[in-house]
Amino acid sequence: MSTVVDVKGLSVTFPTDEGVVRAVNDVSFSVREGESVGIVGESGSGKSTVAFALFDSVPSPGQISEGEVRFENGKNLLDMSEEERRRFYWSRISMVFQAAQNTLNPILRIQRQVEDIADAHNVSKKDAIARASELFETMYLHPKRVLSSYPHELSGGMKQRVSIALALLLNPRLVVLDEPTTALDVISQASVLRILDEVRRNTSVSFLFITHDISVISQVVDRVLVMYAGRVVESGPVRKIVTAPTHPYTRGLVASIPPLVGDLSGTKSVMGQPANLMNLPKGCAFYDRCEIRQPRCALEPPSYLPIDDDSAVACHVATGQDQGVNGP
Amino acid sequence: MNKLIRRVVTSLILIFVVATLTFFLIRLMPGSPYEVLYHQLLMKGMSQQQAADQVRSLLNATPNEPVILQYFQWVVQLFHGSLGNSIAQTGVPVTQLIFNALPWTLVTVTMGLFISFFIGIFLGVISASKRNSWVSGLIDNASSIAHAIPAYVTAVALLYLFNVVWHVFPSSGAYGITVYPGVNLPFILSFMYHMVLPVGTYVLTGLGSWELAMKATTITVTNDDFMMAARLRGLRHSTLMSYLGWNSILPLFTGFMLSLGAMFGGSVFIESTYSFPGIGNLFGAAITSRDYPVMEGCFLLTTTTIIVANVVADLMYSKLDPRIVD
Amino acid sequence: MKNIWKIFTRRPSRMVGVVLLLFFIVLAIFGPIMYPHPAVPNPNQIYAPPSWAHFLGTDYAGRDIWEQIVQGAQNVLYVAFLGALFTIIIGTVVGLAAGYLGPVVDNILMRITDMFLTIPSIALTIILAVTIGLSNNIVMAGILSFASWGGLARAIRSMVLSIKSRSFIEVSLGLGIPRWRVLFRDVLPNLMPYIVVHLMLALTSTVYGEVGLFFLGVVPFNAANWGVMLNYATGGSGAMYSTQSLMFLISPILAIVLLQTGIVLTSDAVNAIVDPRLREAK
Repeated sequence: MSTVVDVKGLSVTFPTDEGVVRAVNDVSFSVREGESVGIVGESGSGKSTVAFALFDSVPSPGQISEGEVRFENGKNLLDMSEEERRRFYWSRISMVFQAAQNTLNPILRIQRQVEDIADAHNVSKKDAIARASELFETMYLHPKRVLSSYPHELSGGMKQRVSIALALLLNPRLVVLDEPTTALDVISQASVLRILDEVRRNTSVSFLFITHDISVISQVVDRVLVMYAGRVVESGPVRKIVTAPTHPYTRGLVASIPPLVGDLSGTKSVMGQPANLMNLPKGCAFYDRCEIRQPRCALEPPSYLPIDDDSAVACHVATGQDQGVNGP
Repeated sequence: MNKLIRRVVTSLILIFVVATLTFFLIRLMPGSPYEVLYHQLLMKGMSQQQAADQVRSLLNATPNEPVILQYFQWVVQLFHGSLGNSIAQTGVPVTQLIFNALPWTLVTVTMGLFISFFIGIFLGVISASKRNSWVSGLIDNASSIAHAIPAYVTAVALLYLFNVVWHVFPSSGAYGITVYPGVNLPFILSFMYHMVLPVGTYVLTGLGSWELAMKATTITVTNDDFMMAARLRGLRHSTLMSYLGWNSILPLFTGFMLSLGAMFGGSVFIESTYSFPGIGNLFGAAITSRDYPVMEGCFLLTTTTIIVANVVADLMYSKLDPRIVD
Repeated sequence: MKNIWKIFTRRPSRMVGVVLLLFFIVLAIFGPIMYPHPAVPNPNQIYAPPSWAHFLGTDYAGRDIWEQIVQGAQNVLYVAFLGALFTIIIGTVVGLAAGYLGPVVDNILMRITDMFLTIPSIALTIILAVTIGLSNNIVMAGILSFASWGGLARAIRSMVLSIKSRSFIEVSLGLGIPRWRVLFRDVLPNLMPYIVVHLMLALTSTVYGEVGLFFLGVVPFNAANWGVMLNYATGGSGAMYSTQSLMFLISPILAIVLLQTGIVLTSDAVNAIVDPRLREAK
């Protein structure tokens, strides 16, 4: 299967009064056609920044300091002209935002906003409306009513579904979903996830989910990247990550998932505070919170190494870089 | 519709309350039109008795009627659509004075409002887009200072520069002595010529608040999630600008009508400086001569204008902004 | 402290503002000591040009203009500051009461506020000034603030309503902490930045009103005031139409413009100091 997006050595820095903060540090990954990938991490782990970096739209004053982002082995996004980029956005890669409630223009009807997208990408307005209606229908929305509504006339869940429909409007190759369900109640959450799963099964579109809650996306992704303090610390197939996590941080994340049935006492959250990006330790960024730390971990950062065909991890202990506790 | 009727009724009550309060306030002023005239006549060499008789016949009123009685007469008159007669300009109905003066003020104030609104918005957008450069600071400070400098100072300065120093614009009046008011080109041209300085003063003193408000809303909207979303949707630049523009200007519309009231107030200063025959001038003159009915008339008219403008602003706003549900 | 210095160096205009404002404050404080008596007319010195004896020349009666500007500064600044203070106090108290004391008080106070916002404030101020008479500075300050507190009251009210709905206030009230203590400890401090900035804004409008009343000439002239000077310069004295008397026209104009500029630029600085959200990033 062909690669939809390929990210290499991506770093994003934020200048502050106290020095430069590396919010994303040498991150590489790729998403294949039809594949659904999740990026998981706490707030401040850099996962949302990665999402915006795919659009070269890192919130100011942040900037991409290194790396490249290529779609379908094409041109590096960062080298594209404004106009090239504008045409590229939404037709090839689109996004569903965290606060989808606020991502629609409050003073225009949905129909007009669909038409504006069509106009921007030289699609006939009629076709765009037809396609939007079709998408609304699959999302259990009343197309006519939604099209003639203003955003404030729709509920939060409806707006989120509208914004998913808008993201799929031009049949992009990749849809980035930044915490697509966080702002929703449990019922809407389930329905949105079901819709996304259907879309995934019925089309060749690729998804990149950004979330802090691994349990939410475990049903809708194939592969998971775990981020901590701006770096990818572990990656692998979702089944493996959930059932047999390798990195101590991933273990913590997985252990914090409450079981649907049964005893809650086994659930616990990852101990301690997220790493302070202003002041990262010399060695492993997770050192302070780690339950299996070794002396070496405080001294040098672990490299991100493959542990088998489809998984990789950055941990001295897990990869046996330290006295071979868990040898390959 | 129901809401509109309620607004109109409460507005009428508000106007009546304001009118009543000012009626009594004005009667409390030290000195009366009768005294003013009486002393003028005495100075001309009349005896006290003669002067008193003269005042009575000239002003056709008994000065010592109780205020409460005057009030009831005034209310009765009001319901008949009359604001009484001027005291200083003996026997001339106040309504006539006001309707002679109103058009001049209305035209200049409206022109000033529109021009300052557009210039202010334009400057606000520029300032917002150059937020972190010195250009923004310069525009903001210049607009705020222009706004803070009193209208009468601006008026005097403009008058001095463009009339005394450069002889470009006339110093007084609303039209030249050679033209006849009406729908004819010479009059309209002459009126526009006389209007330049007063309107210029309204614009200079008014644009500051628009600039600051527009800058603030533009920055807020620029940082709104939906603008980021719109950019990532690859929308055309012109579409993005119209999203940004409408969302930034909408909140300003409420202020648009409200500022009409402030400008009517400022007309007292501006029109007296340019001897412009509008409401402000009439009001100023009425105060000097203690012409109660004219003062009340002007005050009532200005208040009514503001209230009507308020209602219109609300109606307009609910039409323009879909989020307002009525 | 370092941050405050940074705020000034980032925009030197702020420093200019503070210097200007301080200049006028110094004039207002030391003016009466420098010139304790009204300027003396001198028929031999009518419209004298600026000289060492007369900084800004003399007026139509041969009085020193600089002396009058200095004496005017005291009157203008004192009344304007007092008026701005009254405006802030009335606006804050009404706004707090409306937002804090429940819907009944809120309704009544907001009706009244709406009425004040509707009445043309300049016209009301003029009528009040004529009616009550400007017998002393405190009365005048009261008149200037009477018609101009509405906007602040509205703003404070809506801020109180939004602060009240924040969780920490609800928790405090739920814990049984007395309402007035929550008001002074949690609500008021949150409003302080806005109130301070508004004080500066109110100052520009009280200067506007104070000088304006004298300029219009609808009130009896008392002490030296820039408005009186401007009135004479544009009116009776005919100073406007003679180059000889230019200083008499320009001096009060310049004084008002510089004072307002000082206040506006200082308020820009105050704004940047009290409102962290406005501090430019890096």
